[in-house]
Amino acid sequence: MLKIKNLHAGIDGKEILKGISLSINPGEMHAIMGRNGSGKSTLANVISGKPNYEVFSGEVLFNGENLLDLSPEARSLAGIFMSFQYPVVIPGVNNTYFLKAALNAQLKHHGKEELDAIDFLELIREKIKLLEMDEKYLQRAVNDGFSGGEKKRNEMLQMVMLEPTLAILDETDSGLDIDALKIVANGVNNYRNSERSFLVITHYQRLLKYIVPDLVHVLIDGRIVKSGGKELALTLEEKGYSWLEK
Amino acid sequence: MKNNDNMMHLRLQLNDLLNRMPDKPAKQSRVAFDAFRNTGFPTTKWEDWRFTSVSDLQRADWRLSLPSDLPSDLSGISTDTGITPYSINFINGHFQPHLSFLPPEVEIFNLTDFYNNNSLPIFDVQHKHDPFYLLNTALFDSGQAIIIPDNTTIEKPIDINYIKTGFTDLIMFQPRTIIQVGSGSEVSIIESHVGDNNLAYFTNNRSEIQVGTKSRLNYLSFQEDSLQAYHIHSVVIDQERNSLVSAGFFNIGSLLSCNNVLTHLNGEGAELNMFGLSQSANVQHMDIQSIVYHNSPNCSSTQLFKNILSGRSKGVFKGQVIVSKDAQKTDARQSNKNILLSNDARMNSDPQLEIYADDVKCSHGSTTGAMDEDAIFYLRSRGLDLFEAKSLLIDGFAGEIIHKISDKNIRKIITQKIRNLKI
Repeated sequence: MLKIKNLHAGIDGKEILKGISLSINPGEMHAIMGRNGSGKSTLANVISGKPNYEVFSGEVLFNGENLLDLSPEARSLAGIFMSFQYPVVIPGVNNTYFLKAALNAQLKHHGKEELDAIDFLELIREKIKLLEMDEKYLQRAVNDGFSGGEKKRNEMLQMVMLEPTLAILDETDSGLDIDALKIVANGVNNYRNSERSFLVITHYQRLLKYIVPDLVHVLIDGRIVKSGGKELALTLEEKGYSWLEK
Repeated sequence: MKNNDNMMHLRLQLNDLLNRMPDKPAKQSRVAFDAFRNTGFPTTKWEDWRFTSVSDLQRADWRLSLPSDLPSDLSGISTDTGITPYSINFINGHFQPHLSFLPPEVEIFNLTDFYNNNSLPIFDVQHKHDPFYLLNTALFDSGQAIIIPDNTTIEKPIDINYIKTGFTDLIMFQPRTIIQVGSGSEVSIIESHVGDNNLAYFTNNRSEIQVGTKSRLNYLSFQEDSLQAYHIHSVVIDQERNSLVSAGFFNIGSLLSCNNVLTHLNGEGAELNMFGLSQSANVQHMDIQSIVYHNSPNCSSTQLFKNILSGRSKGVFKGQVIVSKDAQKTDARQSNKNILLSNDARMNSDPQLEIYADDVKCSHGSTTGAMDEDAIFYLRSRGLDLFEAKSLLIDGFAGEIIHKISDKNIRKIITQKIRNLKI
């Protein structure tokens, strides 16, 4: 599904990713772990197409298509979703209105009929129940006045509405208390299937107790220095990162 | 010298006007005109006009509108916005009583009758330094006094339309509208300024509004004048004890637009909520100058003015809050936020506070910048294209102001008008 080959990328001319190769198959859950500054978020931003990030060499294929040629919206419509580490506050834009516009963009792209206000509300009410979100967040401006945890739940709400085939969760656990973490993890687990893949980016092993990865990759200074099964996360929890550094 | 020619021309206009309007106090009109001749039009050397030049509007010899400037067939002119049965209509500066409908409780007077019946002077010397006031005092040729009696609630808004259509000469309009809301009353009033899109004209509107004890006024000014027009609109609001005023200013039309808003919170407990949105493109120039005088204790005022600028357009905001020494427990907030959609657009913002009381809560702030790139990326990452993302952000930016309008139908109309403008 996603194939990254020897990716060198960065920002402002500075190389941050120094040769990443990674292959994610349908239905797999991958975790990327690493310290702050190791390049985890850069990887997420490059995959989702954030402007200002530069790719120096290497390639990223998504279902065989060169992802790097696509605009951010085309990547989204192709089935990629990123849950932001810092979801953006958009004053004045109603959350429901935004979600409806986003969902209808997907439906339109796939040649399906767009939802009217009533069908949309029915769908979204069902989804927010799963995430145990208060309906009042639908009426507010996007992420405006939301706590850290509420912002992350709003990201998850967008994910379950847009139904991507690859979801990148960038530090989704940060800012969540343990109850919220369980709810979010539960949402992700219910949402797993044989077609849908995940790339979970995290600093701590905490989230991976609830979302069990198939593969764990350790990122240090822009390189994947070790990959392994779910037990690698536990080893990192115990021993930290230093034993992997040269 | 051009300036002298201008003055000569304007004096001839005044003479003609006084012949046409024998009821207008001639002496005061002339005194006001002489005072105007002394001040002249403001120049960019004046502190309040540093960023707004009115020199272009002086290049033409504007003449006042004559009865013959009224189109012979008015049937094609729409005065009905569908939101209210109540309207007062001026077409090319001429009041149209047969097109105007008011609730029976509301009294309306011809302006000169209003001044003469109440033995009120037309010239108030406290404004003698304001050239546009002086010009309007000398030359006002239309306008009505609208009186809402005590303890009267008018359910539907009253729409005052200034319509400019179908003329070829360079015409100036000098309307003055007086609105008096008695005590314990409630009313919504909208002043709409519209004109055919390629007409050149100069309109110097003045609105004088008094709001009595415990009354509520929702006031809106919506300016959609011709893109060749010069639009000056001075609004003075005086508030009595425990009155509540919401005042909105929307500007999307005209080549040059200046809103000069002067508010006096004279009675204890008065509350003012003021907001505005100016959207400009090409070479439009939008100027908002607002002064709020807190003259009594326990009053509150909020101001939120926004500009959305594209092309080579310019915006100016100058806001002052002046808290007198007796106005303890004042709560005053002022904010100006602007989005520049092009590199060539310019905004000058100057919020100011002058506080002479010690127990007050006051704040002010101003931000100007391009659109938030992170927000654009966030929306695009959810599948919206660049145009949709920008439109949504602009809608959101404007929406914060539009939502302050209490009437749902008016909100809808204004949202549509703003959305129809090109980004």
